[in-house]
Amino acid sequence: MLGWGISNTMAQQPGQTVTVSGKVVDQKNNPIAGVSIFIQEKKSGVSTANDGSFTLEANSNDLIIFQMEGFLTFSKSATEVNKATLTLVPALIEANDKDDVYIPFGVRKKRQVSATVNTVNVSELPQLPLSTLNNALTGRLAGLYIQQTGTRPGTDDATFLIRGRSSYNNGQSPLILVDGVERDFVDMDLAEIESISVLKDAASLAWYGMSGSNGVLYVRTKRGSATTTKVTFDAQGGLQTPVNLTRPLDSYSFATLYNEAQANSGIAPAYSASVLEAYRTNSDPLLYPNNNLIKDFLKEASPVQRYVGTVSGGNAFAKYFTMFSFFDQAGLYKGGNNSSYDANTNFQRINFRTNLDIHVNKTLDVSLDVAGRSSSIRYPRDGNGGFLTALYGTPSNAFPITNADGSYGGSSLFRSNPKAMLESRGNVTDLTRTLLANVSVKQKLNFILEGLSLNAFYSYDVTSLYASGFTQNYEVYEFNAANNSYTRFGNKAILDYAASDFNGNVRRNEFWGGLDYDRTFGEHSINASSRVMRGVVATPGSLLDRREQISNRISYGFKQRYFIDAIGTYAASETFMPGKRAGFFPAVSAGWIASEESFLKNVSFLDYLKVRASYGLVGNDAISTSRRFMFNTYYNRGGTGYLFGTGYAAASNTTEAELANPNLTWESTRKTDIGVDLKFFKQSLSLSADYFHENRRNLLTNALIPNIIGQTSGQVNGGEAEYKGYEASLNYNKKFGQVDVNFYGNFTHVKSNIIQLNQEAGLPSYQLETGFPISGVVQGANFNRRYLESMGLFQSQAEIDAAPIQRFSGTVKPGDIRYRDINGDGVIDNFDFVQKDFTNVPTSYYGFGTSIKFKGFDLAVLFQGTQGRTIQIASLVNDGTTNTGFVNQFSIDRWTPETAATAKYPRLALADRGNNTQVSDYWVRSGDYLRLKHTELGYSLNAGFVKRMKVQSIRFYVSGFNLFTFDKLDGLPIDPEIPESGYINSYPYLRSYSLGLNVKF
Amino acid sequence: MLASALFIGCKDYLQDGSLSEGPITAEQNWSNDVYARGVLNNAYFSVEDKYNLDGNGAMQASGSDEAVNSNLNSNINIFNNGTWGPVRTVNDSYGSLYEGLRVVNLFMANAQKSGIITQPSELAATPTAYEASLQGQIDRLQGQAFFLRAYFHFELLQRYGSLVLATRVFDRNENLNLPRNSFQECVDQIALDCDSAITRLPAWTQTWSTGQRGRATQTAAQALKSRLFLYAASPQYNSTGDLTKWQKAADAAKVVMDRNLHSLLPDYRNPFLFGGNPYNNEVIFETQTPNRNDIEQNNAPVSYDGALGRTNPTQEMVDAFEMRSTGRLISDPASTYNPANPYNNRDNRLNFAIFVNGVVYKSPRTVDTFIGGKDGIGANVNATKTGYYMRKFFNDAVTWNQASNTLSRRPWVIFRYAEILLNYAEALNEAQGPVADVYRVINLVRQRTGVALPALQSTNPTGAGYVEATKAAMRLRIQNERRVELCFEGHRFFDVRRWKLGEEFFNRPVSGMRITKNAATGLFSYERFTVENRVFTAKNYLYPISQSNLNRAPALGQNPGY
Repeated sequence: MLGWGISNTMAQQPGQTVTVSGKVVDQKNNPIAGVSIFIQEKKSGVSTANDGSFTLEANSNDLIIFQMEGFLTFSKSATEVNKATLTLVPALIEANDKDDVYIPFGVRKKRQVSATVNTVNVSELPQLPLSTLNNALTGRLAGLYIQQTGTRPGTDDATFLIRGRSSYNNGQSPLILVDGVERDFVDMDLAEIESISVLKDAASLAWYGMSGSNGVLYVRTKRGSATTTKVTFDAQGGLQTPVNLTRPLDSYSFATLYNEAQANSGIAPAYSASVLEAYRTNSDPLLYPNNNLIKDFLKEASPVQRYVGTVSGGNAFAKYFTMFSFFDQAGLYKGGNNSSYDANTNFQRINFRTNLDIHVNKTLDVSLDVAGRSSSIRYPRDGNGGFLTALYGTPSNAFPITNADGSYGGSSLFRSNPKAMLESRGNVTDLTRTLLANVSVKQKLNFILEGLSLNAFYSYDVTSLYASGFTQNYEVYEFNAANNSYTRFGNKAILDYAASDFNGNVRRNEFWGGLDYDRTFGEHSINASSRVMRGVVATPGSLLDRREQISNRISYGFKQRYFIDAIGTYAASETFMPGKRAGFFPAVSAGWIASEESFLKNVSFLDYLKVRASYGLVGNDAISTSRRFMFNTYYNRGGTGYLFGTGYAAASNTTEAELANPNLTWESTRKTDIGVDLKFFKQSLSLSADYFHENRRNLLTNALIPNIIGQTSGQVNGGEAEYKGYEASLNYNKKFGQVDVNFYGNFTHVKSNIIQLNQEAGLPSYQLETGFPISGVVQGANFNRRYLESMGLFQSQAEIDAAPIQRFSGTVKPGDIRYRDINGDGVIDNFDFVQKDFTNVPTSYYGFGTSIKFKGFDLAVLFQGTQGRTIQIASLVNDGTTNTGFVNQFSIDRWTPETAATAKYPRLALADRGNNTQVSDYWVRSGDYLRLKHTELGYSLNAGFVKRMKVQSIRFYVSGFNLFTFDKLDGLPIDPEIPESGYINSYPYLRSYSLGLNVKF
Repeated sequence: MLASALFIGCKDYLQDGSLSEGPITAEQNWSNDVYARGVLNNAYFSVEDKYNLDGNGAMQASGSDEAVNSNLNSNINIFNNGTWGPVRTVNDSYGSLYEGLRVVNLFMANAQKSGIITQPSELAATPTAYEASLQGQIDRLQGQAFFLRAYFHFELLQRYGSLVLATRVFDRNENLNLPRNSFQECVDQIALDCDSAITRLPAWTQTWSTGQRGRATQTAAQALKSRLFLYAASPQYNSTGDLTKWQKAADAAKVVMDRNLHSLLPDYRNPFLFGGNPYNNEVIFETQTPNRNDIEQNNAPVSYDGALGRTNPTQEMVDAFEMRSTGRLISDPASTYNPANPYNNRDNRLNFAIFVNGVVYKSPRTVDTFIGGKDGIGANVNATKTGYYMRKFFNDAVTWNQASNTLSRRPWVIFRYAEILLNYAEALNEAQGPVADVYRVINLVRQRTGVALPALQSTNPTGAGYVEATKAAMRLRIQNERRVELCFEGHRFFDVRRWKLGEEFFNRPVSGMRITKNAATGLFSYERFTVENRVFTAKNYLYPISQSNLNRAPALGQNPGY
């Protein structure tokens, strides 16, 4: 491996034995006695004498480590130690070895940070065999909201939101940085990550200029340690089982309900009594099929497995971390059989990484990180959505899966046969390969100025997508009993290999270079950084996408008690007109450790109190303009040409692009944050709380030019929105005898508000969006903000006659939804829609959990929940097509004259369904839930026994993910987080169990 | 600092947008012959193909008493069920037509200064010196732009009754909250643009070289004028009954007739089938002509390879077809209509335009619309709601749902010669009463070789094709002739409106024919039934301005009643 090669070369310098001696002092130059001094990997060592002096034998390659309770651990290469005076720095609260906080291109102790940064160390996260990492973070950090949006293998995606939304436009996901560069994070393996931080306020984000508005998720990968060599191996196997699967109607129920829908639409019944009887008795499965496609084509459980090996260590010259992992997640489909390929969905991923730090000499440090992954997602040729639509949307009586003559069943209306889709339609494999590399160099310039260093960082990331698979096609046959013949639909195509070129080849480079100045003068400390950044994204077929900025930061600390930071970034973006494309983004923050002031020093239960505040400006140039260089007028050539002449040849075609907007500018965000950090009772209880407010201006909003202009105009900067709220997190650690207890929790409350957006002048006041929260409720692909107010279902014609006229369908009948006449004009139409504050972004979200250790056992539990969230069930209850008559499993609870008192949903109808498919609060349900997100129980084997096997530790564990959910859905069998999972065209919601083994050598 | 020095040192790192991946700047566009012409070509896309108004195969016919759409949930039903209004629109086209107008105006404003070069090959015969000249070339391009501008304005006019004329390129920074021009101003502007087009364009389709056919022509502009003046003379817009307007409409139609360029094809079906008859003499202007099978796939009877059976002609439509031998309407006791054998001895156009029960389609198969038949009412959810399917525009050779489908070239025909003749007959009858030329011209349509109905006459009351010699009686026959000849072509929707007969025809139920087969004898019995109720009120004479347009530009004002 690369890492090994280089580290060996470095270590292979002549290793002479040297005698190392010196003296250890504290910051006031007083000698420290009893400092334990040892060589890496060798446990034996010496201690300093009363005068702080020491002597020991070492190899010149060795790294000498100095450890002392109450001081920060300190290490230096043997050759640099000799006869030196070494100063140990006392460890203050939140300034210990483990209190490093990684800020952009810098590291601080937690107490020094006045910005709002929350970090979770991956060692605290459970080992879950999940294909995407973000789900492991759910509920862990205050101010980080993660909503799972999908469950398919390889795409169990989730969206992030840091604190909330202050823009009503798209592109509101946070910037995700891995080791300082914008990179994908969800496809990493948990084992390659050291920590994940959330950067939330202006003081931490202004550094990123025009890309920081939505917050930053900062992922830091693991690095080698000079103190220990570690070899670990993890093996995990698990099962994923679907939750809330559609329970399909049997043929008899379907046909009966379909007849009812027809009768309600004034159409004669499609199924006669004898046919219904045949469905009921299942007398002839070929002529009167009664399929259960869910049972036939979905498994009860599918396996997942994950294997990870890591090796890390180092010496005075080089430190390395290397990792290799393999992940495999199988899909739930079954029932097809083709010897040439498998069409069941599946996800496989290989990740590898080597991080290398080389201490070249006293003044030069170089790091080289190389990582890569290869992930492949396989799915049926018609797509997961296509296959699942066929499963959920084909009535059980549509056709026999296989006809009497062995051909695939089908019909004029239903031509997708699930069996054929799995075995005669081919498959697709999307292979994504990613290579990530970055090199960074730090050259100390002490000869110019003590504390000055020159820093350069360069990244080279490439990613590509290669789609391959098999194509094939099938015919379905419908049997016509009348003349004993078959009608064919679809066309057969023989098996063929299908491959695409490499596409989606994207290259990303970032260069950050500049100077750092870090120095302490007595009680004053100064850290300053200045970096020039240039970034390129190269996508095939496009001009390079470039950005540049200069980021500057200066931090000043006094007595390790008062801290002040100033950040200023000058950033430019190609999205805007030359001359109007650069902006300055400043921020300031301050922190005060009040607990160290004399008036608080004697409060015995209070160990620590820090007060922080920050204010600043951040930009967002990721505004969704519909085309590039929006500031310019353009014409597009090509496209479909109009056909002229007897040869019907396409004529040359040129179109004017969307109207230019030379005044386009970035969203500018003002962020305010005030927070406190507290520690009580010998630091066993810590609490942090923040109040925040964010105001964003220059939001894109519709131009609302009258349509006679004859051209779309793109959006203009005219909007303003804000959010404000508070967040708190709590952590409690205590040891009761042999029991180690940790309890933690976090809570975030945030409310957004639209202050300004362009709205049509003629809108009635109750339809205006200003004053309402950003976001609405997602229904299918739509996003609903305005609702009719429902008043239950009409129970009689007399009630309808007395009520205002409802203008959404030709006729209104008993069993239809009744709406409120908002404007009192006696007619219910689009003017009666009312703006509502229903939102799928919760107003509050929280997580809490515990981890308990007792002897060899450990148990971890995490609950996660939301409040103030709304979902829509219209797309579920109204699911269907004209072909299925909109009859589905929810139709059981429809209105009929007999069930009028208990009916949950309106009457069935085949046609003229407009009245009951309007967006209304009839379909709104609470999306609040509390979920046992994950739990893990582990047992580590007795140390003595494993030591004999030359193993440091062995741990067995069982874990579960998405185990229980408490919701307010009143027994409705859907998931409150992803209501459509397992319905319409979505993969079922999954619960996972796994069994794992972790070995450390 | 060093960093800042580096930064300033390389000022041109970010791109200025003068070069993009594919788009070109306005300047580049207008200085290039091909690109500039490409803009005009693009404007033709705003000429609507009306085979599919709802994305699911609905035709405007289903918004009138001609047909019912088999997809009962189609938007097209908004026209019929009383829910049509500013917040519930259908076939609005407001935005897309103004988009077409912008493109045309951009071209007109910039073409003259652009580097257009002569391309004499665009003309078929030996071009004159003028035609081959640069000015002749620019005129031909400008002429097309004038025609398209007139046509787009007319499409808006017939929907909304009046509109904001777009005779220049609007700017985003000017006040576009403009009031509408009056109906008369719109008519005048459209006529003016037609005249401007006529002076610049080639005479008719055949004057263009074969590679350029399908572009605007003089006769297309003249046909548009004919229709425009016919609308302007009609009761909807001519409340005083000003006969000079009718005379003007008759004259406009006569201009096209007097050109002696266009003629009727012998076979009623052929004008629409460009596969065998590309740019035929009957068609004056049409949309582009793709190779297609969507017309059949959307409208063929449902047993045919999963077709969707969308446009289902109503019984009222079927009843409008005369008896072939007597040339009389079936309501006429002397017509020889037999309700027990209703499809016998009917106007040949019935079989050309509509599938009735038992006709052979894709031999040896027959269309079986009787109850229980493979295409009958209830056969599946897409099956006919009336007992009929539309056949017009079909090419019988076309296939779908096959491994390899046979397609056929079909445009949406916008102007054809038969309409001009009917425009003339109607306008002349209104202006002068049933004079000889009225009979002559309407009989040209009735006696096309493949139709061959008895001529209309007023001399023998017991003879075939008798019509009373009054303006009113003749008007009814002309209206019926128009209903039959131009069925499903999108005319009746607007014709009934301009005749001010909406309440009579559109505010009443439409019916179908329930056909029962006697299992023993194999004989059919026929029973008329109501398919659905239809609602039409006075406001429905015009389209509503959509609320969103009105909200953006309140000065437009809403149409009355909405």
